Amino acid sequence: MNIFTAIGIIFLSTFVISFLVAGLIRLISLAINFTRIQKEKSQDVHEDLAVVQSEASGQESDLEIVAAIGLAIHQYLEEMHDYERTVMTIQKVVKPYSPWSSKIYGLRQNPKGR
Amino acid sequence: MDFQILQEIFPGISTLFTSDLTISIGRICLMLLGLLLVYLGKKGVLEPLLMIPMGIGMAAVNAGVLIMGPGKTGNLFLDPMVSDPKQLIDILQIDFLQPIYTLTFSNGLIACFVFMGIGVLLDVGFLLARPFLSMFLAVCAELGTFLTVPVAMAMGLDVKDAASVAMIGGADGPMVLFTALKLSPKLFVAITVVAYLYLGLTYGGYPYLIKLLVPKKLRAIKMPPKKKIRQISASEKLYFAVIACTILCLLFPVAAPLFLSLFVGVAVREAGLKHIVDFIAGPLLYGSTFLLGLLLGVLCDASLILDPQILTLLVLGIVALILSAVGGLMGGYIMYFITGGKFNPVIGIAGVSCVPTTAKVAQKSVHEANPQSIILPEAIGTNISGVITSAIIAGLYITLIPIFFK
Repeated sequence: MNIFTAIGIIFLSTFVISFLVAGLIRLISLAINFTRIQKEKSQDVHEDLAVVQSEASGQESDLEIVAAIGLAIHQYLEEMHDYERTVMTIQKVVKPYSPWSSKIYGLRQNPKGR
Repeated sequence: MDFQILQEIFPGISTLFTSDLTISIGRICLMLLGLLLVYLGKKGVLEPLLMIPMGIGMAAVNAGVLIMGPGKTGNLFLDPMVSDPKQLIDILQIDFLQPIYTLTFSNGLIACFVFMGIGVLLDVGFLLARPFLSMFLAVCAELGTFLTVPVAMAMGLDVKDAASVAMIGGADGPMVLFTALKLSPKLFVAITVVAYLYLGLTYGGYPYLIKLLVPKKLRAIKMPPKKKIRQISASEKLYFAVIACTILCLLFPVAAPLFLSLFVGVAVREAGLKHIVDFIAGPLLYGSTFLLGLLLGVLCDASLILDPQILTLLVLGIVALILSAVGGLMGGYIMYFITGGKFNPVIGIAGVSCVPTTAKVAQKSVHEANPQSIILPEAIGTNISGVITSAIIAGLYITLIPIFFK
């Protein structure tokens, strides 16, 4: 084979293969990019949900604060007394003795301590 | 004292007078060249990491010549031509660099280590960003790899040797080593030495070529910022490295060790394996580069490389590298015209796949013309593509040339 023909074939092959490799690199890049975009999209959806939830939770937290203030006012107003008694009365309770209920008669023998 | 005894005491000096005149002159020239390489490496004109060990090795091997027998000289560094297993075992126990040469150089392991180091330093995000542009420029920068083959044949080489020496145009040391090993084992050492010698020279020579072929006005062009800059994550780069490595190995098994080495470097970097990255980018890369430089210097033995064909290889090597650089710059000019003057043509030279030297050279040349102009991202992408195209061509040469020229 003529050397110029051979080199021409090798040159063309190099050109074609190089561009195929470049296409392959582009394809890999696009595939990676596509996966990334999908991931970012799903992250965006999650982020949106998170924003809504945080907003709602923000409202909830406001209501909690209002409720807490209301309760505090209520307790303050209801539990405030004008006057409180300071005299304490202790009633004496006496239990009368009865042998019918005495346990000492229920035992035949006193238990022995060691 | 008897002259014979003096000869035996100082064989390095006496062999300068007793051996063939050409060899003696060659030895002196190579010793001086070795010293020059060290000097130029120290000055920063040539790549010091490679040139300093190479220069000192070159000077030492040509100085330290011994008399090994009647009319036979040698050294205690290494013998690259030995192939007989019994003789090899003997030499492995005598020549101190022989184990490193036999076990890491001639099988390409050291080149693979260097590739791993390059992989760890590379950011493949640049290639992912502009694959078609990078590949186009890389193919243009292989001009020398194609055109040198007929030139080499016209200078008397056979087609396999011509293809091996033409691979120097790809400026990819490991690829040259591999192609020469497969296609022309008898010229393997000479071609590899010439290739690595010139790869060191690209660092010093290409800036002048750029200045010669690209006017300052064009060198100063700032690349327009990309409309939408998307940060490519480490996971994406890791997936890319794994997929690209598998597919490229599937397509070009001949260059599979090099692809694996390159992409394993990228993978460990992107996976964040810090300790392994530190090991590969530090001790492995610098150790391999140092030993590679030292071995290349030691291979520049006058009696080995002063083959009549060496001069031809030296001429062809420089022709291949110049043609490739011109091809790369032509590709840059084509892109300059296509984009209506918005593309810096110097980026084209980074397609010559001497990673990352040519990208650095391109950025340096542009920076001198316009400190505001940053072309390194595009240049690195083109540089990596250069490695891929070199591997493609190596695969095609090794596969098709024996079929075309049975």
